[in-house]
Amino acid sequence: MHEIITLQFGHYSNFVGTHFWNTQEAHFNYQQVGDEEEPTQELVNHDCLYRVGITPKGVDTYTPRALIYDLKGGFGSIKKYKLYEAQQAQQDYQQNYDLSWDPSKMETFKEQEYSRSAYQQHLENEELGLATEDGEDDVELNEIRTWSDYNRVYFHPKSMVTLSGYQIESDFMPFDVFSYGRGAFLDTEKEKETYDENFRLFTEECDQLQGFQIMADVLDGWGGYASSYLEMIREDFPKACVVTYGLSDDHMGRYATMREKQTTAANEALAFANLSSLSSLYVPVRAPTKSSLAPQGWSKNMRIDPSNRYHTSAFISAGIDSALLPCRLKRDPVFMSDMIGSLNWRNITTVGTLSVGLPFPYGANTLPKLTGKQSPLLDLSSRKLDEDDQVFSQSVVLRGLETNQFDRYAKGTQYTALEVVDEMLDSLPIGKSLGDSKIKTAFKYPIPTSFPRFFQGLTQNGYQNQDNAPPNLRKDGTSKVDSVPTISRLAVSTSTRWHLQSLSESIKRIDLRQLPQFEGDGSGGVNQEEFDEVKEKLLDLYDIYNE
Amino acid sequence: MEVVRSNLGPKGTIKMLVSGAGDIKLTKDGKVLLSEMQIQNPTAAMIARTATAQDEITGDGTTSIVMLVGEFMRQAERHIAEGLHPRIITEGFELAKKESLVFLDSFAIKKEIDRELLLSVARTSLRTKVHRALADTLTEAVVDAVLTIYRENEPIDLHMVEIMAMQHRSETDTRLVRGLVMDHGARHPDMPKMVTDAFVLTLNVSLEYEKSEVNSGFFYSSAEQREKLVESERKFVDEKLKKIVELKRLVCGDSKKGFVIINQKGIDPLSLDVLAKNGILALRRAKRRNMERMQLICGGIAQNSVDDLSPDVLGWAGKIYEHTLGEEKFTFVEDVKEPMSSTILIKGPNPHTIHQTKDAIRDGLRAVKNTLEDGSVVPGAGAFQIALHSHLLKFKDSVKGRVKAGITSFAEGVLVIPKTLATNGGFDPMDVIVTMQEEYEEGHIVGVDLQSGETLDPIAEGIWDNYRVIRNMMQNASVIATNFLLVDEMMRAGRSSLKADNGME
Repeated sequence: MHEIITLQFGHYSNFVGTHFWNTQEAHFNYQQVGDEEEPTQELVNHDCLYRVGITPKGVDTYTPRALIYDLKGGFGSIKKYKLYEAQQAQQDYQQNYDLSWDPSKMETFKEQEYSRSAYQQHLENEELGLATEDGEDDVELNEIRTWSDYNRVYFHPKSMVTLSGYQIESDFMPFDVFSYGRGAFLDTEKEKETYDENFRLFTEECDQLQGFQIMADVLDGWGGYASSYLEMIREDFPKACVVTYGLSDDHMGRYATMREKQTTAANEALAFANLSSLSSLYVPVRAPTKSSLAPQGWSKNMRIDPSNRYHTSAFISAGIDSALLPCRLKRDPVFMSDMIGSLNWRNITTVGTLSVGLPFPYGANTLPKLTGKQSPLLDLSSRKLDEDDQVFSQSVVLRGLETNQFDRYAKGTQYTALEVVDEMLDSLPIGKSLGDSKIKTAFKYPIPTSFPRFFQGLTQNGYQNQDNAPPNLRKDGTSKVDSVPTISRLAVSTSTRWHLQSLSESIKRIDLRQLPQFEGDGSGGVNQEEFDEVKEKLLDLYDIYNE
Repeated sequence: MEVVRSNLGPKGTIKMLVSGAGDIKLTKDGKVLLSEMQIQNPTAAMIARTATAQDEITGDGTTSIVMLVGEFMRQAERHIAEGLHPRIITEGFELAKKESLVFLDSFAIKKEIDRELLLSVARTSLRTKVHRALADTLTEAVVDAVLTIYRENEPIDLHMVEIMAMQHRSETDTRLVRGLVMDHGARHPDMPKMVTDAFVLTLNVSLEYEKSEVNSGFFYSSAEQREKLVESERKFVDEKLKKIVELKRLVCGDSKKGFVIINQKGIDPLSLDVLAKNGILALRRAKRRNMERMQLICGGIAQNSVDDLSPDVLGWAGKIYEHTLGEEKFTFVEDVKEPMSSTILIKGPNPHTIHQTKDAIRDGLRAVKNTLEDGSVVPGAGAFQIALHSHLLKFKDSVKGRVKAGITSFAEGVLVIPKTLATNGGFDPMDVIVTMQEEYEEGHIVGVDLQSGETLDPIAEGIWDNYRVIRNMMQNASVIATNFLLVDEMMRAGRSSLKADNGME
């Protein structure tokens, strides 16, 4: 089965995760365009990410192998037991209970009902037969506040865990320190035993676990939570392959005062050091910003709003989905341990970078250049790119394009289509190992209706549009797109040193005694000694990458 | 405060909490309620934290402590409004607290701890958490569960009691299993679903092919090379399997005896196949704690490697069988010789009933454990508070000066417990208190009878509270109330000095 288990720690991680799972669902229905005569064959082995189950009432289910952690209030309007419990009105419960409790003795406290987004309402109406799938594209998506507003997927009730003790967006007790995360982990495990009750449910059923894919917010308490969790996993799975994406964006962390800046920097450093030593590959991922998007000419095909989590998380999710796609292919899969093994072939380079091209610009007169300022590949991990930077090893996935689609670019040259595309891919800096892998698949990145409508100038198939009035043009000027070609690259490269450098620089002068919340009074505290070790560890890593 | 007030006692109201998304939680437990509430104010957070601490130390009395703190403050307020300095009140509190603890020691009853007494204690605690029928079902289960793990003069580790939930039937089907129930089953269709007279091998050994670290940087130049490598690593696992199968042959021979493996690590399909062919039932990825529990239940010694396998390390169980419920599988290990651990198997029609039952069981277990460890109990139903009130009023006369006010506040404060019990039972608190006090003065120990509103004798009725619950409660409530009073004073002082500064400008 080659199962992959996904863990999501934190609110932004869940934004990304939700896009990820919506895309998986879209994969189910993916039809390859143009070959109606041949029966569409499944390109992806869905069982890697999904599990087969059955409810107590005998209904078959197919749910993600995923664990989703968020703070109280972070789950929005999601109903945990929806799939595994016949829908019953609240009155039914009350009636059931009146049998055993004196009815006058029950008091009801209702939180304000979480209003469902227009999109969720539409999905619900579809279930009731009041709306159609075709109408989904017309539903307003501008009012998305949280990830559950655009979630399309039913999860197993054990997939969702609410942390003990912290409320989302609370100014009174913010979850903004690495140590709080470690403390919250201990408290949550003590109270709910999620490792035994939830995590084990998903691992016990795996026959040939490929590994774990983890997404974690790293600028607040979640980094600590994820670190503690991973430590626990490592005790039972010492050799398992773990790929961890350390996510951050502009809404995470606080920067108003010097103290807050230091706290955020210390959080990031602690998460970086801990997660990179516990993972097989740790990939820091920063949401795209205006300045990182501008020079690449992204605006041509995208109207992304870098301040909107719903937008940026979709972009990141496209990269995460494609990065491990080779591990889930039906034909000739590359398993996680092999892929990560060849990326981190030196065994000490556990920090990687992720680059994404969404969409891959296909269909213009010339092929895009993969290097230089105009490259469609946007590096989400590196803080800076330098001419001197070298790649140790990489895994490139070009999806949505088959070799014969490059015929038009081969015309008039002495090269074959295959040579043309290989030449383009070879223009990327070559890794120092023999382990570079470059995979081309016809399998395009599907765009579910929950995806932000930020594409423009594309055809329905996601290619560059040359038409003046294409049929898929929405009123607001965006293009309605079913799927797009993408390119992604997971690499181990010296460009990581810039991140390490800036991180080391920002924590160099931090004296933990000035930030007593790290030491704390309870469990999970970080003392000066541990912090010094982290400083040391980051410098060591810097030396490894600064060749 | 008002929210938890109505929780108290067996006649308290149950709360149904409906989350913003429509999920439901039912509770009567102060701790659960507090952790579900959105607390946005530092005072409330402080009280909630005290309650949580109380819960962690004793497992009970959270509602009471919240109310005590509130009532102490309210009583103190009256004196402060009349111009008394908070410091004097707190001094009174301190004296009263010390005296209360001394009085508690004399009031508590040292008793021979027998099963009867433990049942009474557990019943008292459980009836305040869940409805009567369920409380009575749980009482015996909880007491017997603790008794199986209890060894004289050793601390009790409640983790050794497994709590397992099955979502079907009704909560009153909850029962004690003298053995272990695990939430997973065999992963091979040919493995037996039921094994009798079985040897049990508890393992923490990986029985799956794992790519070893050494090869992570190794690149295969051909598919055959890869195959070869996999094969050689596979051999490693096969060796382990061989040793296990040999042991099985040794102890079982041709007899009908069964052989069961409980492994904390993984077992892959190829290994399962080998084991199934040899008639072995194997479970993988068992809970870490079940390794310990297994040894307590079946005997035997858990193994971290297959190097030292011998018949001596094996445990034994009379019956091991699987039960399937939807997608969930359960494995029961029963008919064991002298179980030193057990499982409380919760049943319930839906997740929130199961949750509520589980919370109650945890508190019940704690109550029984506390009794065993304390060696003494305190008569319940408000009896202690009535007695303490009267004792403190007498004690007050032996103290000179204004601190008397603090002692009075404290004494009046503790009455909030019997008062609330009465109110929640639908009776007039003043009437009840007066009757109780009168009877107490006549030399009886009296509590509130929530059926009639009259008095009763808690000792005869078997209503007992935990000594350490009461002790912690008195201690913490007065410390927190003291802190609040003093902090309040400092804030006021701060504010007035600020005003003074402004006036200077």
